[in-house]
Formats: sequence, structure tokens, C-alpha cells
Amino acid sequence: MKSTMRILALAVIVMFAFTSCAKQPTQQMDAAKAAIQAVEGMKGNVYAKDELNKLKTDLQAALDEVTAQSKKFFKKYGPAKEMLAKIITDADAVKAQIPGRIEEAKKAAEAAMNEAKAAYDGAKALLEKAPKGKGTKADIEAMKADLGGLEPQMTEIQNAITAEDYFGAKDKAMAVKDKAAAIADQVQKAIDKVKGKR
Amino acid sequence: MKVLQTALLFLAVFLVGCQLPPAPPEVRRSDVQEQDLWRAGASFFAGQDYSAYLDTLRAARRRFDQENLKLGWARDYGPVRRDFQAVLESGDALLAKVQALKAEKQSSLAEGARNVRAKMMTLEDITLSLTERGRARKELAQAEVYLHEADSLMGQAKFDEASRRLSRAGDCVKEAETAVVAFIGRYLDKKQVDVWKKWTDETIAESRARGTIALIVSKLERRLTVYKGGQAYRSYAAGFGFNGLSNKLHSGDNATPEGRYHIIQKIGSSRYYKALLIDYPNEEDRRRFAREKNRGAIPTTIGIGGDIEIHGGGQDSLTRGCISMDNDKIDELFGLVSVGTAVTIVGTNEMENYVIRALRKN
Repeated sequence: MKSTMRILALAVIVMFAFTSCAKQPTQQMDAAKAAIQAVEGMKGNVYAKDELNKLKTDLQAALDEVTAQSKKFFKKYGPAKEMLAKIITDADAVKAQIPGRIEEAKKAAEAAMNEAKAAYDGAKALLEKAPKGKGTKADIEAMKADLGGLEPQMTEIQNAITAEDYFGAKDKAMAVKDKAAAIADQVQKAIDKVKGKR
Repeated sequence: MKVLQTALLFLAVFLVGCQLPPAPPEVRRSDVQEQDLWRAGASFFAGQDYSAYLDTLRAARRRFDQENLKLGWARDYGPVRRDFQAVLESGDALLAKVQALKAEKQSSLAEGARNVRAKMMTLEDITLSLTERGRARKELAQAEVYLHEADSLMGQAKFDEASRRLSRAGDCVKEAETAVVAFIGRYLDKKQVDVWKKWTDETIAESRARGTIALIVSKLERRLTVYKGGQAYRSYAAGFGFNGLSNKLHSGDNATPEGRYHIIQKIGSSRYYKALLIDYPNEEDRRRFAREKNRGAIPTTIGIGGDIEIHGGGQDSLTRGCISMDNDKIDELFGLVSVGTAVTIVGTNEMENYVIRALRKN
């Protein structure tokens, strides 16, 4: 009986010693923060906005858990460590997806730029064939000026791609393509009118 | 043995007490709500309110964690549920506020885009009517691209970027307007307009005194008006030179002359249906040509030009300086005029011309 009581008392003392002295998972916290920063560093705020937000929310929850445990006598950092480990894993998974998304966005921007260029060149070629001289119904020179207004926009598209603003480049390219197509349409109507008269 | 039984009993009670009951549904809903608020842009549109919401949410989560530390039978999720219900209510109100702010922002940007677009359309019409083929047209083309981008960004709720594009569109439209006003600078010069009005008044006075037909051509308004005995009788739309708003100076400048002329020949069959030849150049035109030639402003090989007609072919045609009308209208005119009929061509008779009125309206 006495030895059993001694063993029990010893077990309680050992338990006290381990739980009350448990240390904050500082290393894991730093690693989780670094993992999220790495995602941000790869333009996660552009190419993985939702996932980045989820990681930040999860990190905050893990930090809150660590803070809550640190105020207790019997500290249990196990759950917090699991949360932090999951954040690191998730962040690495998101990081792995970003290069693919960037490449997709780049290809889409370049394709849009090529379409805009094709529309611009098409309108230019049509203007060369357009009826000029006295009696023309449409001012071909005015349309040439319109097309001239698109030249600085073509440069801005290329600048946006160079600066890796692929979404911005794509938006602008689509706008330029539409305007060039509208100019080409006007020129074609002018050509058709003259043909019709003849 | 008794000690062992006691220990086993203690262990059983401990294990039962440690089992986690299911979390209140409000906890999971608050996780979803937090994500919804972030996606809606709460931190951007209502930063302070969103921070306060997050603080309340964290406090509720801490209380939930604390409750979970208690042994099963000692747990009471009642206060936890109340905390999370309060969080959810404030979150719903915040979401409604953010959506209202977004709608307001979107509406404001859309209104801005409408205004820029309206001004752009007005300037498009004016530049085509004036045959302006330079800076104004280029700026308008750029404005259209920026507007297109702004529309797309608004649809993606990227309001800051949309606002920047809209601002650039507005700048381009302002530049176009400046270019248009510069293009018609001569038409805003009171001294010049007074000269044109004097010619017009004198022509009409002669038509009244003699009971004859006279033609007044206004280049800016693109009108040819027939006066009979000093009264406006008919008015027709007319087209002018590629450089029609300028005053003709020499051959090949594509400008329509300004001054007092007369019909010197009626051509019943011409390349442009029918034509009325006028006596450009008059004495003033010759004096001006000689003065500019002496100044070196005109190459020595270039002549003063001639063969300025009022002819058919369509009022929407562009000419090398002649005045063009629809064929059925030139038919009417042919019946009204004769050799010797006065033709006075002016820039405009109005200081408050249609271009200025249209620009002021927008």
C-alpha cells in the first residue's frame, strides 16, 4: 500500500513537471509564418488570393491557440503544433501551384496580345486598300488617326506583360482588339459603299 | 487490488469526461462567414468594423476552446452559442454594409463612366463633322480603350484599378476636347466671325434690295441657304473639302474658300452629276495668295487653284475644296439660280456655334 501510494505520487509529480513546463512551439510558429511569406513572395496575393487568406486565418487561429495555452498551468501545445504543421503543408501545396497559374496567365496575356496585333494589322491593311480621294463617303484619314491612337496602347500591353501584370495586359489587349475590329468594320463599309455605287 | 480498482474507476471517469461533444453549428458557420467577409472585401470597404468583428470572433473562439478543456459533464456550450450567435449577427450586418458600400462604389464608377462616354460620343460626332483627323481622334481612340478596361475591372469588383482607368479615359477626352477647340480656333475669334457676319448681312441686303436669289454657305454648320428677296427660302446640307474648315490659299490645299463670289457657269452634266462653277479666286484671294507667296509660305511651283464648284455627289462627300450636295438638292438649286447669282462662303455666323454648345452641354 505504501509503495503504491509512493508510485502514484511520483507519477503525479512527473506529470506536473512535464505539462507545466511545456514550451511554446516557437520554431513551428516561425516556420508557419515563413511558409506564408513564401507564398506572398510568389505573388500569392494575385494568383492564390483565397488560399492565402485561408492560410492567414489558420495561422491566426493557431497563434490564438498557443496564446490560450500559454496562460494555463497545464499547457498542451499538441493541437497548436498540429495546426502549425498543417499550415506549412498547405502553404507548400499552394506555393507549388502558383508557377503553373502564372504560366497560364502569361500564355493568356500573350495570346490576347497576338489577337490584338492581328486585329490592328488587319485594320491597317484594309485602310491601305480603302477608297481615297474626292467623293469618298468616309474620312479614311480620320480612321487612320483612330488606328494611330491604338499604337501607344499596343506598347502598354507589351509593357504590362514585361512587368508580369498578365491580367492587366489581357484586359487591355481585348479592348484594343475590339476597337481595331470596329475601325476595320467602318473601313469595310466605306469600301462596300463605293463598290455598290460602281 | 482496491487501489487498482480505484485507479481503473478514476481512469474510466476521466476518459468519459474527456470526450468531445460536437461543436455548436454556430462555430462552423462563423468560419464560413469569416471567409465570405474577406472575399467580399470587408477589410477594404469597412476596415475598422472588420477588425472589430475579428476581435469578437477570436474572443468567442477562445471561450469555445476554454470550454472544451473542461471534462464532458462540466461543459456548457450555452454561453459559447450565444457568443457565436452575436458574432454571426454582427457579421451578417457587416456583410450587408460591405455589399451596400460596394454597390454604391460601383454605381458611382458607372455614373462616371457614363459621363465620360457621353462626352466621348459628342466629340466623336464633332470630329467627324469637322473632318478633324489628328490629335483629337487619337485621344478618343485611347479613351475608348481605357473605358473598355474600366468596364471590365468594374465587373471584377476591382474598383481602385477601374477608377484609375476611368481617370485616364477622362484625361484623354479632355485632351481631345482641347484639340477640337484649337482646331476651330479661327471660328471662336470674334473679329473673324464679325467679318463673316458682315459679308452675310451685305449679301442678304443686296438680295433684298434687288429681289434676287443669293446663296450663303456656312462651313461649320455644313449648310447652304438660299435667300430670295432677302428672306431665307431653302436650306440644304453640304459637304466640304478634306481641309474644308481652312480658308483656301492655294491649289492642292483641299480647303474650301471663304469670301464673296458669283456663279459663272451652270454645268448640266458633270462628273459629279451637276455643277455650278464660281469665280474663285476673287481679288481678295489673289492679294492673300501674293502676300503669302512673297513671304515664302507657298512654294513657287504652286498656283492659286480654281475650279471651285457647288456640285452633286452627296452632302456626305469629301472634296478637294468644292461644296457637295445630294443630287436631288442640286437639281432644286439648279432651278433657282442663274449665272451671276451671289455666293457668299463663310466659316460661321455664330460665336455660340454648335460645337461650343455641344461641348458645354456635356
